[in-house]
Amino acid sequence: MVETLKFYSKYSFFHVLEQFEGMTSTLAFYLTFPFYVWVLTWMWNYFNSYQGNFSRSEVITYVAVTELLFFSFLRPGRFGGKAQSDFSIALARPRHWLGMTFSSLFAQILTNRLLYCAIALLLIPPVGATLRGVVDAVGRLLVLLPLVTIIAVLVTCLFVSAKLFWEQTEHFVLPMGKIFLALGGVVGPLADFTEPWRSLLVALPSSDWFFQVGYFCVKGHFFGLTFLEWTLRISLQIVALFSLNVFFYLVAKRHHQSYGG
Amino acid sequence: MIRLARAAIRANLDAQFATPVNLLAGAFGMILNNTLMLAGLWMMLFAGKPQHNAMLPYFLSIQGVMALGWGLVNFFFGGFRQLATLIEEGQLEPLLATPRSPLLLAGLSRSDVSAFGDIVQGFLVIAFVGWIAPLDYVLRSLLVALIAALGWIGLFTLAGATAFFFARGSSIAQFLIEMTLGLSVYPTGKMLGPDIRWILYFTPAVAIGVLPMEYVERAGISDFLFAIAAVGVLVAGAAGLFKLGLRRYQTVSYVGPRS
Repeated sequence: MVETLKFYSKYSFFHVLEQFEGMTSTLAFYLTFPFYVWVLTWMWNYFNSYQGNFSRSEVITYVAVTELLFFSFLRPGRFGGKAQSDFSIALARPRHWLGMTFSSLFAQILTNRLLYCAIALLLIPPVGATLRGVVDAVGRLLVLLPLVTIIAVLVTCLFVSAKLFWEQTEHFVLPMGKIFLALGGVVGPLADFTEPWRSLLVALPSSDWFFQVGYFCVKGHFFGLTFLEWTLRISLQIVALFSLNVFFYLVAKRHHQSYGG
Repeated sequence: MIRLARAAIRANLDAQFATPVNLLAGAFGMILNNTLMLAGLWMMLFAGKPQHNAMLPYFLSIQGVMALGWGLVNFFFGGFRQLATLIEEGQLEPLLATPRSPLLLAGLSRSDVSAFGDIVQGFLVIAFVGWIAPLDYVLRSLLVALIAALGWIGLFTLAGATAFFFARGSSIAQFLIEMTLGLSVYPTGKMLGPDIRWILYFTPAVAIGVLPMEYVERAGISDFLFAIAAVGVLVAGAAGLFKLGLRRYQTVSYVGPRS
């Protein structure tokens, strides 16, 4: 067990270092982060500011948090490409493909999110948020980050496994992402939606991964939930996603082996 | 040139239709993607907010125009968007050995299957606008979608040409495209305050989204001419930058390291 944990830790650390490999090539991409925060805040300002649920600074911080999470969510091509190509070899190795994929994805996504947190501290205050607000939000986000990153990893893993037995899965990555972008509260807080949409969307798991996290980071408490309730919901979702992952892996393995590898 | 374009487009279409499952999955995925985004934005911005209803035709029209324009370019001329990557990976080299325009050949070299979904969805959304706006609004939206398509070609060429001048041109190109997409797909022409709206006029979004949509709204001849002029400047500027970059690219010595 100790050897296994040591192996996965080293494997994860290797993928952490990999994140810094092509930094200059992704630097320009990181600049899209404060840009989208700026545009989405203007949209909120025009359409929803009259509701008074958030100040402008709070909304900038909220959108920064949700965009930060979304930028590294469900990017199987960027984060899971190697896992796919390693599937055949992994079947002949003593280490489980799911374990290796999970540990590498967790390291990559967590590192990516921590980088975005650092960028947020530097580039979001000039967009219009208060520095104190951004610092508080990032501090609260760091508390929740491990749990929401596990969710992101399990969802990405699902698509990586699914693509192994149906190539066309890649066409459904974008729509899946849009469910969270448009309906999970990434583009704007669900608290500004009117009924019945607000209740409907807040009840969905997607709101726990983005809207509730962003709301907590800005306001210091969840929307209509206690901390314990949110943690319980996330834990159940992790169990469900993990079960799905095992199922998808078994199907992919059977398909791969019957196909001839 | 026209015969070449026709042949290349037919070859791309044949390739797409040769794998109908892939085509259908790609198209369906993109339609689902755009519909979810539209539904989410409608819930966020318009549902239960009657004070914003006057802006609904503009909002839907811009979504349809952008989807249709983007889809037309990426389905029939998918290589333009990948121009920076083509240059970085040396795939421009074979295109320089022909007597044809390398830019046109690059543009015709690829076809994005999911863009078919953008075309279908763009048409459907613009048609839906006909329920809440007069017919001439719909017709202007269709016309403007073609102008936007030209604008996208100009933007992709401009962004792609940065690969001639910078080592990481593809990431700069990606940033330019993402930025313009963000400024064009959302109704920035209306929602940005007057003190900050001037920024748009220094971005490609003015030619792709802002001025064309002003023509859709106001239906003035001058608005139409401004839209055409803006797209013309963007396309001409982009083609000029590509030509400049190409000359630089072709004159670089292969003996030493390439700067």
